[in-house]
Amino acid sequence: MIFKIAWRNLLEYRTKTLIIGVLVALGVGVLVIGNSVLESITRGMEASYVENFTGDLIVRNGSDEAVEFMGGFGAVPPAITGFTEVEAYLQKQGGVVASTPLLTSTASLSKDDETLGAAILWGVQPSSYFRMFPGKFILTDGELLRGGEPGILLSQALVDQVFETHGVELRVGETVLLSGQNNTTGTKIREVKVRGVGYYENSAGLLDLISLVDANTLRALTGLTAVGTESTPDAASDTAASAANENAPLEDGDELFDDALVTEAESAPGTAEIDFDDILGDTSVRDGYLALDNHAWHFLLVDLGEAAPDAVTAGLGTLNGTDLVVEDWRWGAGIVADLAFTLRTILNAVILVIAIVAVTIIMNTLVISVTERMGEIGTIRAMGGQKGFVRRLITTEVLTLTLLFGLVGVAFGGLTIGVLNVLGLPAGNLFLQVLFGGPVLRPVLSISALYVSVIAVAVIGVVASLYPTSVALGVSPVRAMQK
Amino acid sequence: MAIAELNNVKKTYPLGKTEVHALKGVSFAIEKGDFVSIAGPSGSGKSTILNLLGCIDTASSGQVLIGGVETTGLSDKQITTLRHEVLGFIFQSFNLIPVLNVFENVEFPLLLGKSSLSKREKAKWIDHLIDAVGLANWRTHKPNELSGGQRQRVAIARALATKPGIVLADEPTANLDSVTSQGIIDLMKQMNRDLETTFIFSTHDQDIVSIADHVIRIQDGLVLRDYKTARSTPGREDAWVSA
Repeated sequence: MIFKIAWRNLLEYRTKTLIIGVLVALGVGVLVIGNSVLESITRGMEASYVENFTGDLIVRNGSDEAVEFMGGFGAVPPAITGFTEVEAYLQKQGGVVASTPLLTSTASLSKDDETLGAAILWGVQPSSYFRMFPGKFILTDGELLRGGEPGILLSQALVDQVFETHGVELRVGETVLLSGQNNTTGTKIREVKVRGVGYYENSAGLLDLISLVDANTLRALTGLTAVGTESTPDAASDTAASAANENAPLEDGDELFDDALVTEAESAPGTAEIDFDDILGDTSVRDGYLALDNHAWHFLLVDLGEAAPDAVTAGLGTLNGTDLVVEDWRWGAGIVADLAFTLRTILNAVILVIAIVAVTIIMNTLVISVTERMGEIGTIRAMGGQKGFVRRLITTEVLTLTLLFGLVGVAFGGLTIGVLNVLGLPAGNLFLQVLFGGPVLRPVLSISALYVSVIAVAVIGVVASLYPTSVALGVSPVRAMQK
Repeated sequence: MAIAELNNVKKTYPLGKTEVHALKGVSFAIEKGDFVSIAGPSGSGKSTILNLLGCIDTASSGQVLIGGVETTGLSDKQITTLRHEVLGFIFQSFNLIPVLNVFENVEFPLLLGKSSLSKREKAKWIDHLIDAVGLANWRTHKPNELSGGQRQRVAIARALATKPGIVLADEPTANLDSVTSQGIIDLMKQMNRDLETTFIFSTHDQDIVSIADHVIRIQDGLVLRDYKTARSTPGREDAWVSA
């Protein structure tokens, strides 16, 4: 009977019902659309990053420095201490499907004495990298990197950008110069052969500019030597795959010395009449310390499949001599993910404000409604209706109203999301492209947004009914006589 | 034993910085099955008495006993239960629930508390009451589709739904024309006889007062006269008997 009265009252007072209902429906619609779009962005971003770039986990040195994953725009990341031990430990964990180490940095790119701009470089171990991210780097020309073979896979976006800006074509088979600066060995220049050109699937913005390079080239550029990583030369033994690459000589290294700018580059003994060996004496210890550390990696990317991260990483802290931090894709995505989550927070704050306004309007309208029905409420109380009955009556009315129009809002939001999914939401600028992870976003209806909406509507309903209910409960049965 | 009793009841209302003494010490007793008229001019205190008898207002002092229960000091829940189980109300403005039809309005009090009747028994009882007030053909009509007299008939049926010991009616004919008013009073009287329910109604209409078998005349917050008519005393049909 209470529901029957509530329902009929909603029909009876159509104007008030519509005022409140439209407000609730719009609020819920905004909630559903906003959260669905933002969840589509973050889910798409998560899938894109996890599948293409970061894996499920990123293990890194627990340094306090402002380290960034995307290519060393912040501080150069410190190498993972005890990398071999960490890698061995993770490979023994049942949940680990695959793992691959990674180095990141930026370098200045030049060709034929012309500086062509900055390149974001990821130093990879080709065998494990392309096994963990198969087919994600799509070649437009050339071939993938091979283990033990120096070379670079240039990003298509970088190649296009260089051509547009400088009119220089970067072709497969040609060599380019990479110039990096670090605190250990100063400025380093390496000449590498372009093995291929390609792009990452589902990437946008910064990720478009990532080029893959062999690990030792990047170690040289970033000064990851035995002394640089604080390990002894003796400890720097290598795996079979990387041994051939250790201390890889400069290709056509003599050409470097034709350029006055590269005087700080590694010495090339025996090119002058002066016998430097005699002057320096035995340099084997120094050479040993300046030798590249083949176990130096900035990150270890881990693919967990369905395994829970905690189960896999729980024992990492117990490894001797390691100071590790385990991050996820959000950290890897850095500012892009932060932006998406900030937007979500802003949206939720806006929704909270809308909710407060909605509650206030609903409450006032209901108070007016209760005031107009004081005689009816008084009559119910006079006839023996307990306060609990009146409370249920008002609450049922409000909840019926808010849930009904909440469903209308959900349907409206769902329909809008459906239309947006079909039409696609175009990213009009680079900012949106970065956010959307591509030129077009096709949002999908978020189930969690639906749950949140229903709960939010119920909470709004209950909160909005509190004051009108207290007004109704204060109605004396005498009011029945005063009509 | 009296079914309703007021003992030296006083009621004072604040009015700005002053006080209005609505009742100045009222005492009377009403027997079960009485058909009682509380009569008096406007402002005499009859509505206040009805409110106190209906347990929807409290006395400033004195005793109000309903069904032998002293109502002073009862909690809101207890007094609400007492209203539901012992009292029925008929209002001057009918006070029907506008969104419910005739059947649902009559049924409504039964849903406000516990009832020993099954759903079927309830439906049968409600139908019987609707038949008794002559609205069998209006069962599914909403209040706004009924005339004033019909609405008051619904209110009478509703007041009787819980089979209360006392039905209180606050000027039940004030909004009705004289013919309809007579019909309503006759119906109340018939119910009084058939169900042995005590009816207490306030009025200032002398024609209606004359139908009562127990009249309590109020003036300026005091009982002016309290008497039973010959109708309540078999064998003395023409006499007015002081109560």
